Amino acid sequence: MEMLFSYGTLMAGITLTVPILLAALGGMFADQANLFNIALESFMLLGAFFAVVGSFLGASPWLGFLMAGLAGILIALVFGVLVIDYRANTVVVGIALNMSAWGMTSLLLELFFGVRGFLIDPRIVSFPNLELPIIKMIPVLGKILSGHNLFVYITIIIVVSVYIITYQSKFGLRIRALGQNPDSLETAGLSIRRYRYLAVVINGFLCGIAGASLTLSGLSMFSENMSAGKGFIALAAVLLARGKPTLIILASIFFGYAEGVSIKLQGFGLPHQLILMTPYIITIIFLFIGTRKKHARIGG
Amino acid sequence: MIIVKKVVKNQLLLEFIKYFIALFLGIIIGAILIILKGENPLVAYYMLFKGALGSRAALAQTLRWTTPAILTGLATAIGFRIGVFNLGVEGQLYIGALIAAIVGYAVPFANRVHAIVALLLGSLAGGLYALLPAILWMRYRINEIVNTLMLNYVAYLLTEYITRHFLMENSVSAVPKQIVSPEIANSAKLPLLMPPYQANIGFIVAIILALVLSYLFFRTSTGYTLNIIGQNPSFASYGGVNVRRLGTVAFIVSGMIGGLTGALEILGVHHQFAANFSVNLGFDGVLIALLAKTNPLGIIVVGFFWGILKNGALAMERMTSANKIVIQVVQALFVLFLTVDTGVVKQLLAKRVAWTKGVHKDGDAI
Amino acid sequence: MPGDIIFQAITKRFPGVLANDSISLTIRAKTVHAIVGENGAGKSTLMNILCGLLRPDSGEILIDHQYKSFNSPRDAVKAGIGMVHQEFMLARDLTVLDNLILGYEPGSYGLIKREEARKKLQKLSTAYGLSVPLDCKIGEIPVSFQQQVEILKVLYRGAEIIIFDEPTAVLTPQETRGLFTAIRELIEQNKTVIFISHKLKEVIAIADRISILRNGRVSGELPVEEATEQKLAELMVGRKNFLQAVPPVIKEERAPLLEIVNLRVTDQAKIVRINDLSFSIQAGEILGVAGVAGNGQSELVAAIIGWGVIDSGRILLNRIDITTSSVRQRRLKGMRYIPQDRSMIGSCLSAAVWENLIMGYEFKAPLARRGLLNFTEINNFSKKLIGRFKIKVASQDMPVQNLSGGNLQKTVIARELAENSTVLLAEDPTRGVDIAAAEFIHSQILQEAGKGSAVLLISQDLDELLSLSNRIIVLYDGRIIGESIAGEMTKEAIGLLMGGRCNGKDGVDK
Repeated sequence: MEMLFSYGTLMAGITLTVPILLAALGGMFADQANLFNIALESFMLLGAFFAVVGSFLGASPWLGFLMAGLAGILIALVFGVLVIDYRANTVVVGIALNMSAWGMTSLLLELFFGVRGFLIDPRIVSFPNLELPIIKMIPVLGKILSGHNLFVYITIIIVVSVYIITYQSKFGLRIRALGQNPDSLETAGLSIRRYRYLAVVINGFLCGIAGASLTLSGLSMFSENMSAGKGFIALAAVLLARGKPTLIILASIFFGYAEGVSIKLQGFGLPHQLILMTPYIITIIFLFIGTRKKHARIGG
Repeated sequence: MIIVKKVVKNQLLLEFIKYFIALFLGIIIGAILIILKGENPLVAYYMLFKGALGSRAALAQTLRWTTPAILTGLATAIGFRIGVFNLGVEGQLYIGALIAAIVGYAVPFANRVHAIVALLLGSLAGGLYALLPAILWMRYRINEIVNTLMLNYVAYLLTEYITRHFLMENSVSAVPKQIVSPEIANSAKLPLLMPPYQANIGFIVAIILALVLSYLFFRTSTGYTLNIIGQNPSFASYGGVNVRRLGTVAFIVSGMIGGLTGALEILGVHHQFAANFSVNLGFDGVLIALLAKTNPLGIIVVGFFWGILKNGALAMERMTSANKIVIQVVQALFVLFLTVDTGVVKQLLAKRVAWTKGVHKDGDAI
Repeated sequence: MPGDIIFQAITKRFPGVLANDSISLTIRAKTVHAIVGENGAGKSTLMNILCGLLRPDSGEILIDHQYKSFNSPRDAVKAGIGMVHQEFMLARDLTVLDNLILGYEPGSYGLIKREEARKKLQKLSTAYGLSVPLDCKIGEIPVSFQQQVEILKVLYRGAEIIIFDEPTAVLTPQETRGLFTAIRELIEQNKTVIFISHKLKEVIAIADRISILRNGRVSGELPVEEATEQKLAELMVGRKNFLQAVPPVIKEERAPLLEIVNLRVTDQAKIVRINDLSFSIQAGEILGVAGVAGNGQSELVAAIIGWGVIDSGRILLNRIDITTSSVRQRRLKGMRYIPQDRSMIGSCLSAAVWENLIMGYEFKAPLARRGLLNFTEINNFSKKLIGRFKIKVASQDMPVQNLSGGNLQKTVIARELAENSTVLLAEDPTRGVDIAAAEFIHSQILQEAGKGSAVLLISQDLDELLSLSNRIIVLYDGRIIGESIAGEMTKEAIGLLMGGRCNGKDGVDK
């Protein structure tokens, strides 16, 4: 039991929260633009791969970060063109993109690095861990707040920015209005298409760097199909939160923490599969509860 | 009205061109990927087809892969018919496979009845696993896409958990690949079509099922009703159809076919359940159903094509330095390119629809 | 005068339809100019052109003697034009304030300065006597307030010319009076108002000048002093006495075919929608139901056809209790329904004509035997109906989304009346269809009653109710607030009851 709340589990939980949280925040924008995006997984995977490529080429995690973001944007634009301009079914495009991203990254891994399956190389540079001066000295809390990978702090900055964008910016207001009633946007003389594309681009960027956080926050490696369903956990968070950043954060932390616990359990040979199931089961339960509530409200 | 007729007539031709272009583009990109690897794409593709159809053994192995392709295609197609996205075929397949494996080794039977019971229970388990998303969607209108997706992961983990902790004879290993159930009894194994190759009676089951569904979809009242539900459930319900009941039944049947696919895989090919044994068979079904436009006879054709690609890819990888994953990318791109074109046509038609809709909503819009 | 809006020979063509045929029109500044016309006359097209949503094929718009061409609604807003749409363009979960400023948010660096907006909005709302709760969510405030939000939104964007598109469709008479007060206030403040409507009485009450559109052309224009309802109706329709249906007289007491006994329905939020409602309809009788939409009509229909959940009460069809029967069981007993929403409920737009016609008959002889469809019989069946109901289609394999509104409605009616009915529910059966089709539909309904069916006619169109019904009940708040037999109640009296007034004078007079 105490293992659940041990320092190690907590730190692992924070690290595991990062990719889910970033991807979910990205997915939130697409969701607000009424785009049901199950391709978060592919955005992440591509981001993870190009983060490694960038870091390898530039010997700098920042180049990896940048390339991951760009790769995410690029594949998101493919999604956007098909879904927004050609009105293709989002689910079908999502499945096809997930399949191609998996295949493509595996093939590119072989082409670029001449290896199959996975790549570990000292030339891939991760972000460093960061000891926060002063804060580090605070008893208990200092140990929790300080000493994380730089990516954790980048994530915090991004979370705050997303919060401000959603509630305080013109873009945030418009994208929320778009989700609730596209006509309200159109009659204000704003282009729905433009805002959908913007949402998709942000979605792509955040999922891309979510992928980078898998490869560049300490592990410094890439393996085939590395995202391994994290995109779907992020999607679960998106659907639970329905456009509310606060709920996205809470859900992501919970899911990340559950994963941290399950890894610990696995180490002891305990049934970690049951813990790993929780995000999915919780999503189903909460969607059920949420829908019941909504029905009651609409009735009035 | 004349314009409309022309549009409809040209559409068949358009459709054909569209498929051709999409596949062609997919193949070209595949060829580029093969060239980048330093291999001649013509040789690679030749090896693919030779490896898929060039010999008795090759054909048998192609049919082995055609079977799950047809079945998952059919499972998804039933959902599509009524406007339901059952993305959980993968999960239903796992549950069906696990149950079939358990019945296959743990229940003592002496004869062929064993295999039949295992198949039935496997498909029943798949159907039961679809019951939850079916009820959530039909009764409470909770997005079935999300629920079925989530339940896939629950199925992966649940089957792994059960196998690891209850079925494994020697439960030391923790690596997923090695988490396996005991082998099933000989009485539960399916007869092979072309011994000693893996193609088995499951292929015949798949073909028969496709024919039955084709008859159901196009010749019966139920088929008509399913089709209408898929297009406008409110209208069906207004016409006296019990949409909820029929929709739930169709959803469960879809899950049963998913379960059957899993059971056939175990009883016909693998002979034991292994955690994570099927990679994406369920999602292939979505693409296949889509390519065949939910027509069961079309699914046989596309399923066979899928079998050729899947088996041929393995041969290609054996015979050349090209990676078999190239073919997976070609398949995904084929569908992706197809959505592009469908989009264009749809947009053209959508404009017409929008226009007609405008008339219904408010005559002034015209 | 400065500020006048001049339309010069505006023409707009849609595939197969000439929506605006060289319309020329002058709207004087600081007046209320009404544009009336039937559905399909071209009003909305003209206004969509004025507010930048559509571009004309030819013709010019002049404002203040300057040529204007709008590429987007934003251009129109810049030119001082604002439109209060029929369906409100509001986001439910955003606050009133956020909805008001959407697209025109004050602030810099992409951030919003809400306090600045609030001050400006408060000033505006005091100036025009509009009071809206800025911090409530749109979904939480009533419809009439939402309309005020729309008006305030237009003013916030600096509109000088304000278009109201069928603004009273969603309002009670009391709320309509409030709206008219607001419109007069706008004129006081030197705004110009364009008022789109087909409700002649209201137009006469509010407008200074009235233009009438018919088939995409201006068929007349006159100052309000010269306008009478009769005159406007003639110009709108193009011929006199367009509705000549006369309700049949029921002489003897016959068997009641549909009986509603103490029906009570509450919705999921526990609000009573139908409260202890009882009535019956006898064979051959047409019972009209009047009432502002949302006073229990849809719940009543749902209860009768078997869609809704009811709390208590009984429904009898031909003296048999059908309270718990399914839709199919009721249909098998001869219940038929022409729904209000013919494109989403009454038909399957993407399906073929024959597929639409056989719904409800597809499982039984002669169209099917032991679950198998008989395509020869189906072919005969739909051919016969297409002929009998004069549906204009190129082929019965064509999807019905290609049919015109009138033909689509005929398809619905053909299916519902393919066999003799016991009870026929008709909800706004002629809304949005052309007059020839409307007359045909009316004759079919009368014929069905003549054959001994009990008809429940629910309509927003009082003329339709008065000319078809033997008896009329008025629904208000889920209760029958008034009842009369044919010819005894005037339109005005019904109108008053619809607003919830049992006595006393109310309305929209000037």
